[in-house]
Amino acid sequence: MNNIMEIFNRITLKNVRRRTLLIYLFMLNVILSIAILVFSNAIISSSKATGTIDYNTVRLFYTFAILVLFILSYVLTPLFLSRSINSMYRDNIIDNLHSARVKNSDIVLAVYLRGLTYLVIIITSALPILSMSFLYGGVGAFSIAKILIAILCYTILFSAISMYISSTIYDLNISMVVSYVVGFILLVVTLVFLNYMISEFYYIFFYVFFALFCTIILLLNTTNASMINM
Amino acid sequence: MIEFKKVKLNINNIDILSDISFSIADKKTVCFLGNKSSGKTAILKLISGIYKSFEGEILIDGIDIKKEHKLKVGILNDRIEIDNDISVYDYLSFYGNIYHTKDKNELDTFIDDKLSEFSLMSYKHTFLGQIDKETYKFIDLIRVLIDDPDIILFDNIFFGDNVEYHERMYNYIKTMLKKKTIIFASRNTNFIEDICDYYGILDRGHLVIFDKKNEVHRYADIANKIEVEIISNVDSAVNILKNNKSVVDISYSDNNITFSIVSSEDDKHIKSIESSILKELIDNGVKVYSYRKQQVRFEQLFSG
Repeated sequence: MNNIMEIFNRITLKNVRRRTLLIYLFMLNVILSIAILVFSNAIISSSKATGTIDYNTVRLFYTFAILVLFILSYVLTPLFLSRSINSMYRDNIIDNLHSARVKNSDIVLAVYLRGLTYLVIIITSALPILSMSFLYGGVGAFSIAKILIAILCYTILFSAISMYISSTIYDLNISMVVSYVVGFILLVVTLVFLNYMISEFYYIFFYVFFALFCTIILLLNTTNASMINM
Repeated sequence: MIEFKKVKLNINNIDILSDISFSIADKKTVCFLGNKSSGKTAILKLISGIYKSFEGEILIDGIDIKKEHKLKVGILNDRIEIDNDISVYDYLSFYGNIYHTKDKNELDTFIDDKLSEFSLMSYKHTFLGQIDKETYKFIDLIRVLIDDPDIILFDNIFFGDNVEYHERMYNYIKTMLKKKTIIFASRNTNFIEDICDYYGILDRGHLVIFDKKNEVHRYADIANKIEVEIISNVDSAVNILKNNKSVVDISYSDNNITFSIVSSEDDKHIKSIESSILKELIDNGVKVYSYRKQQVRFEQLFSG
């Protein structure tokens, strides 16, 4: 556990120095704030003019909020994880960690948790602003919870996929492209099933089980990948 | 003691090492020499635990390295750790915390002491990406020393042509002789020749010879060729050499002939063969202009 935290801190320190997290957080919240202001303005203007609420715009607003969260996860996950293991391998960090007798599983877990932590911080930072859209959309708390679970599971699984790809493809750019392609397929599948997940409880249960099972398998495979297990 | 027992290493279906066996006694200094891709770095990576998927057995002080995870082995890799966003102090404390051998105060004191000893205190808060490779090697040496290892492995430590760096590193390594087991992997014997007890010569994953330095030098002498310059009767000279059982690898062009002498006997015997061949040539009417041992640098034996 100690080694996991040391590696976690070192990679985090690197990103803090590069201000990566800060830049992403700032850009995301600026974009979301502008979008929500535009949507809110359209709804209020329409209500004032007609005396009724324009539910088409409200529905669009609600769909936009869900899509933003998914797309956010889709865009950011490869940035944090698709070049994680192979860049450590290229930079000779893995050799030095092995010579210090650090276990493969410690390296994999530290890298994975760091990526996941960043993604969760970024997604949750958008929640206060996005919650406004849920309010306008008129959906219940239970449905919001199910959507958030789906987003979280997508992020957990896609992070594991990205990291696994980074441990098998040596070229940093190719691993990122492959990661985006696989992530896109997973995103489409998740969005297609999202309606079922909201309406039926066992669909979300199935998706959670599927995501966690695949994540564990992928993490175990990453531990045994050639760039880690030399 | 380090023991390799029929160790085979295969990476991506390429045989990196084949049936390597040797043993190194405690506090000896050994150098593995060889061409590029000969497998010398792989041996260091196996000892240091970087490579784990191998066949055979590697024992350190009788303990199988596949089973034990806290062996005191430190390695200075040839490839440096590239991280432009971490300072020298952060880098050293990171590994210090991973080794778990010193508490925070001890670690900080150790880092300061070593940086001062190597006159690198001004680099303490410099990012790794901003320092040259020579300075980095000393910082990496401090990283290795934090763990106070019993075995230190140096991969291509005397690189480049920075004389000051070579001398400083050489002088520091000399202070560790007879206190620690030191193993080098190198393509040449510059600086290493004086301090090594044993040589291991590798060729495409095979350990050609592993013996005391003097024995390897003797082998190198045996392998040296004789160069003969003839004024006349070249054909007759070649026939005489071909009929001599101790002579191999005869080649000739114009008036020059080169050949090797093979013998399992000692140096004196080889010298007597050299003399007898010269006498035989002269007795058979071959006019010899010069007859001398070809000067072969030790490195030429394994660097192709």
